Amino acid sequence: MANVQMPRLSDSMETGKILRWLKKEGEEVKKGEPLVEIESDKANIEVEAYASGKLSKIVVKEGDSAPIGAVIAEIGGAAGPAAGDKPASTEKAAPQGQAESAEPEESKKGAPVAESPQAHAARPQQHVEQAEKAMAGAAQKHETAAEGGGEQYPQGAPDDRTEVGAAAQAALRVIRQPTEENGERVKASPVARRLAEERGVDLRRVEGTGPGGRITREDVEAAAGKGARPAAGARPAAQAQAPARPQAPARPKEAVEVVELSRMQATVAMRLSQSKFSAPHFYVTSEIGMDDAVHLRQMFNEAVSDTEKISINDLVIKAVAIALTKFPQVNASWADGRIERKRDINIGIAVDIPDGLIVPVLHNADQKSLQQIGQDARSLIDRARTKKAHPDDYQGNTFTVSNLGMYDVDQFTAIINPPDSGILAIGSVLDKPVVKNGQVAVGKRMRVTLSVDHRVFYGVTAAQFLQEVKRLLESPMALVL
Amino acid sequence: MAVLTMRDALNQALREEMNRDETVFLLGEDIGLYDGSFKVTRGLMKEFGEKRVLDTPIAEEVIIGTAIGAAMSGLRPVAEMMTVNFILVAMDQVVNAAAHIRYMFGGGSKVPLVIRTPGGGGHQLGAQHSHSHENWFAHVPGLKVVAPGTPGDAKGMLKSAIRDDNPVMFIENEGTYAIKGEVPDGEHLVPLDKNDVKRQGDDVTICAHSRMLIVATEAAKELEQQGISAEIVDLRALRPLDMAPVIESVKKTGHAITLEEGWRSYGVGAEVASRIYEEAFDYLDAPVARIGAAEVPTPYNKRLERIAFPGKADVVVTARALLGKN
Repeated sequence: MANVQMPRLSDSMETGKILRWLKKEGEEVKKGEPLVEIESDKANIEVEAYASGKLSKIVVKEGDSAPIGAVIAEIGGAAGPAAGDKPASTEKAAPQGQAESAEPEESKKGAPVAESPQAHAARPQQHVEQAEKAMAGAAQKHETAAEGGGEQYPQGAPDDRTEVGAAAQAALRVIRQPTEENGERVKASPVARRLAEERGVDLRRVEGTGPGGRITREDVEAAAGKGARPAAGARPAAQAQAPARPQAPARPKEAVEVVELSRMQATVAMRLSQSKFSAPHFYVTSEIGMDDAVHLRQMFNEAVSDTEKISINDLVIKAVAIALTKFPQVNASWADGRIERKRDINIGIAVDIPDGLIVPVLHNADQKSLQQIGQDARSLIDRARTKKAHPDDYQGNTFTVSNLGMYDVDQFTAIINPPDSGILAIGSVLDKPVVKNGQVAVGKRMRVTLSVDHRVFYGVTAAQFLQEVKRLLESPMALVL
Repeated sequence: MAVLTMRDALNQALREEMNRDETVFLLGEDIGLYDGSFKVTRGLMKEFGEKRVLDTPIAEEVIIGTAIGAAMSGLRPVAEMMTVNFILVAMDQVVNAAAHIRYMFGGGSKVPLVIRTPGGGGHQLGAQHSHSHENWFAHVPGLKVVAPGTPGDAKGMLKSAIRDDNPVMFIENEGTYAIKGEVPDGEHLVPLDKNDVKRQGDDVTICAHSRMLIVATEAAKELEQQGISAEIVDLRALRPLDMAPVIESVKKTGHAITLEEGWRSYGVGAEVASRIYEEAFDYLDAPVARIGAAEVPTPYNKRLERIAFPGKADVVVTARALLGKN
């Protein structure tokens, strides 16, 4: 019997939603066969079976979500679905009806457990010891208090004292010391988890302020931002001021249309806010002569088939990857007061998709040929746009490029894509007057802007890195060698 | 609407029900000539005579057994146990007889019996007179268990209990007989299976019953001054346990404290906490905190007894910790 668990499909994923089971309960499954389609916070991904056998039970139904690691199905073992495995809690929780007294619930007599006479004998002694232990501290405290003014023992109930008794101590032990958990698990209250799920907040990035560092409802609400809801009171007032115009075209009464975020939008909002508000950004812009690069691309594309053609962006990726091999301080992350330099060079490519933004990762770009980069980038972007990405597609970025060149943009600045410490924003390749050998001529120019996390590297490094990118793109033979 | 003490409200309920229905009669130790150890039955023997207010020997098993037989024969007995601690010798009658008879005879016989008995301590009466055992009875199918904490509820629930066709454990508290509250005149019935929000609040739900309702109210006032708004749900209906107002409240506050005068282990709070976890898990912002008596036989020593029972400070400190405000 093998349990199929909810896989981790992205770095920020907490739960996944079962979109479609590709096998039915009772069907035979081979290892490596597509088994289930899962929606993570970033994409829809087909997950393969890790074991062969009969799909004996589907635990999480289509449309339902489960946290990473939760069992979503069972393969092998007893044939057919396991019967009567419903969770008991919902049945037990049914309210007790009025018939209770008339028809007592069925009695469940377990086998009687005989307690030894010794155990009985030991009990009073234990009680006394326990009593002494529980009372010692508090009684002592009270003693000193009483000496001052002579204590008043109330006629009725002993309610007006101020010491904290054994009762509170016992209750506090539970509250103050949450059970020990391994370092991996995030301590969050149930309502915090539910809210985080609803609002797309990554709990691993929320600081818990509750007892024992627990993440509470308040923490999640603070992390998610309260949202810009129109003030309830303001709305009718605004309407009252505006005279009714019956001839105006039908328009919803509310002054504001509230758009709920998709999970992806919520993730983008959270991650980029975190980046922008924690990493001190600075920006360095450089203009690159692209005449030779454009020419090279033209020649290259004439020489290959349609499916092998490359884009300007692919040239930029290649140039950036080579430059990063020379500037390991740029290919790095801020990690809680330290800097981590990454040995791999994995370039994230910002891709716009309907109602979102996604950054698939081109792994080991420095070791790939231009042709390979072209092909990989194309299929990554295709998979991202059709939401059919592989789990690896979104992991391990060390530097990102964002290109708005196709939209006639001179230049722009981008927000660093965590955990990177740099992102290169690419503008359009434009025909501009340039001075060459004392003559004004028309040149193809492209402006790029590097956003830098100032904690990780500084201005001179940024400028030198950009110089290297510029050099590579202006002498592009280096990119095909 | 009159303002009465708890004991007078109970007395009024007994009198009204005895006037309304001549099958209602009382039996117990010292309830007649002596007017009852806590004066709940004051004047009733004089008014209704020795046939309807019976002074019994000090023999709890006989009292309950007699009452069960009378109930099965068509009368509506209200038996008084001087304190809930003394009923332990009659547990066989309560559990094996009263609770089971209707079921075991297939509904052929019913037991319309009320057992009134106070629990609670705080009067230096020693371990054998000072405990709260309502959870023992609330464990048993076939019994109804109520524990009102206000004079108005006490009257209304006692009248409902006497009219109920099932054995009802009516748990009073020695520490509440003297408290005063508004009591509606005449026909005032409070259902036996409905719990009640006694105070509105937003930040934390305190579930308490009987005398602990007073402690909870004092704590809530103190918490209010500290900027914490506590809601109090009165668990007057312990079995069947009406969880609806608790769940509704916890969904609002996200924090729950159970407060009982008895021991925590296997107590009312344990049951209530479990039900909260089952029905409102996703609304909780912290584990449910249980407050109860120290796990010792109630001490005789004045100071030790005082700290053995939960008080206002316990609730305030626990609530603050629960909300992460310490």
